[in-house]
Amino acid sequence: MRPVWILCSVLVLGAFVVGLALIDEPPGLHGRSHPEFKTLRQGGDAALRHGPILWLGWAFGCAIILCLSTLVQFGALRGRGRESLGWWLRLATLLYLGIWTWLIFAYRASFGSGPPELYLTLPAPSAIMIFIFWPVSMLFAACFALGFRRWVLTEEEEARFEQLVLENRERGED
Amino acid sequence: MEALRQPIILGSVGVYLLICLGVGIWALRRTHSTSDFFMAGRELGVLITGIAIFSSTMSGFGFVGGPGLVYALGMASVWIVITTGLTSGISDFMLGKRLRMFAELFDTVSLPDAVAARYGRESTRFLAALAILLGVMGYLATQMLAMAKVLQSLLAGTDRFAEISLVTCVVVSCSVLLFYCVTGGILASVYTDLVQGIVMAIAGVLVFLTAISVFEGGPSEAIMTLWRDDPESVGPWGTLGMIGCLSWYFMFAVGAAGQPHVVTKVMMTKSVRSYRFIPAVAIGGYLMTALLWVGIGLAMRALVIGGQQPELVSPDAAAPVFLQAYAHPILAGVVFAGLFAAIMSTADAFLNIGAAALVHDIPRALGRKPSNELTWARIGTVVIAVAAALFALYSHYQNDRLVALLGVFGWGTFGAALVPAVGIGFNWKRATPLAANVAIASSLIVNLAIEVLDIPLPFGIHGGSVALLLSLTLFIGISYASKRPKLDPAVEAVMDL
Repeated sequence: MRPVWILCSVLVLGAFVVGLALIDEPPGLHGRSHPEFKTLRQGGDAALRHGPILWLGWAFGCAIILCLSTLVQFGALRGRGRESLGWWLRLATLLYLGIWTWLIFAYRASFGSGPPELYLTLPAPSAIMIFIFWPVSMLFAACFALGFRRWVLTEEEEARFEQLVLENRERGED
Repeated sequence: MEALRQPIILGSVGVYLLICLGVGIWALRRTHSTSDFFMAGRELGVLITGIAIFSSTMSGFGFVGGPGLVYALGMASVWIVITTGLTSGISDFMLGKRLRMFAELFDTVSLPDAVAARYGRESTRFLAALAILLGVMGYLATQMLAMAKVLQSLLAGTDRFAEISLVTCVVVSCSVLLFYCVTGGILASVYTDLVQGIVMAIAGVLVFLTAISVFEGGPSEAIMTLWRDDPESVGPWGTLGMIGCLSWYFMFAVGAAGQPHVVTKVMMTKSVRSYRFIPAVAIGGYLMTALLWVGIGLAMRALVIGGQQPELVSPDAAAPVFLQAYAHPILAGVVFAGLFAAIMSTADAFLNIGAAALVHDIPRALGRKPSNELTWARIGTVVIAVAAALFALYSHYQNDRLVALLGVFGWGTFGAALVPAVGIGFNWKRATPLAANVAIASSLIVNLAIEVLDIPLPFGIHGGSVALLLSLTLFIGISYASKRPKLDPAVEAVMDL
């Protein structure tokens, strides 16, 4: 993975930030003071504050996920023999993007609805965020631990490194 | 048992502080060199490194600020926590192997040391050390103030020390911290982190179980109370809004790879191969502790809205009030000790990297090398602690914006300054010293400008995210635009692995 891909993903995110500066914020986007308790804030009407920017937010989230995945792949896919890791990481990214999209659809469906059905004590969008979106991100960390000897530090690389340390010490002693 | 609540809490905190002093004395006998003082002799095992990483990450912010944010803003701050998997993926793949290899090959004792070895420029070392030193002062002052305030609130419930001043509390709590940091350096720091991390993880699980048992109808009752008051507070964006949450998510996921108090620990492991399971230990501990963050925050919000609890004086009171009012006295004792642990484990890591920047890196960058560096390291630790304590007290009594100002040299600035130069630069031969210098300097300037000039960003986007985007762009862009640098053969060889 070449750094130019990081640069591209960062520039896309930068364009989002500049673009956001050029459009009007929906009313109450950052919530409002709680009418009764001064230490609390309220979100207000979901459809009113997020409806106009929901798909823009979805796209911004996708761009962030792709940028983060690019950074993982940049660190991971160095040297030969890591092609299969690349496929696993891309698969994890696709799955992660899919769940992110599911979260947005679930949130959209909650606009103006009555009391929510709870899944493991949380309304659907938050349940997806905590019980699915969060655990699936662990796939990236799992690739590191499970494929360590195959993709991160092979025995051959370790031997080469030990040789390098030895040579460096000998050079220092000379 | 309820009558003994206060003595149990004070006793638990007292025992914990004594353990810290004991570890300091034990580590003193094992600290013989600068490498021992700053790098624990590169002898740390999987468990201790993993726990030290998570306990340094989950600071007082996690135990006090985190529940406070959930109390005030609903689910919004959960976006800081759910970065865990990607954070680990980015940091581990980019830095785990590479940084540890640099540490052994070039015998480095600090992150700026490794940066100097990679880029071959003292100016890059100087800027990295300066960014760290500025960040350390802000972070450390905040932690010291938090530690003293918790101690003061605990002692306020006693007859004898009810009127104890904040200055005395700063002196007492900092003396313990300073004792074990000066005597045992990073060795004492990581072994106290082990105790601190275990206490924090156990406390996290137990408090979460307490929080969900406070309501007769279980956690569903709490969620429905919150939903009836404001459905958005239990929605995925809380009250902050979607774009603001996403900017936190980006900054915390990427920024982790630039936190010097965390990534420095990667350099202390016994071997490169031992890093394999360290992230798993760190993630496990972090998740257990995060339960406290979410559990207390939601429970206190529901209790206040439901009329079962008077409104808090400030959001940061969520955790202490919950523990005093709802937790079993023994659990409250353990968690208050855990609270001290969370603050101290971060503070000790900052003290150590700050001392390294002050006595090792900045003098070297300026062409000087102290003769007895271990003694200077101990003196440097005292100087930084005293300066941070004075700074904390001055800002508390005279100008409360000062700590906040230097506080911006925290997570966002560390991320923006060091992720390009370290995370990318250690994996990319084409990265140039000029690009690293510009990235570090621009992140300091941009973060400070946003805070000092109070520049409003659209849609609640965090200033740290903007600084990070800018520094990454400058770093990669300038490196591509510059002539390919000539690398030291050893640097080139290690980057080929």
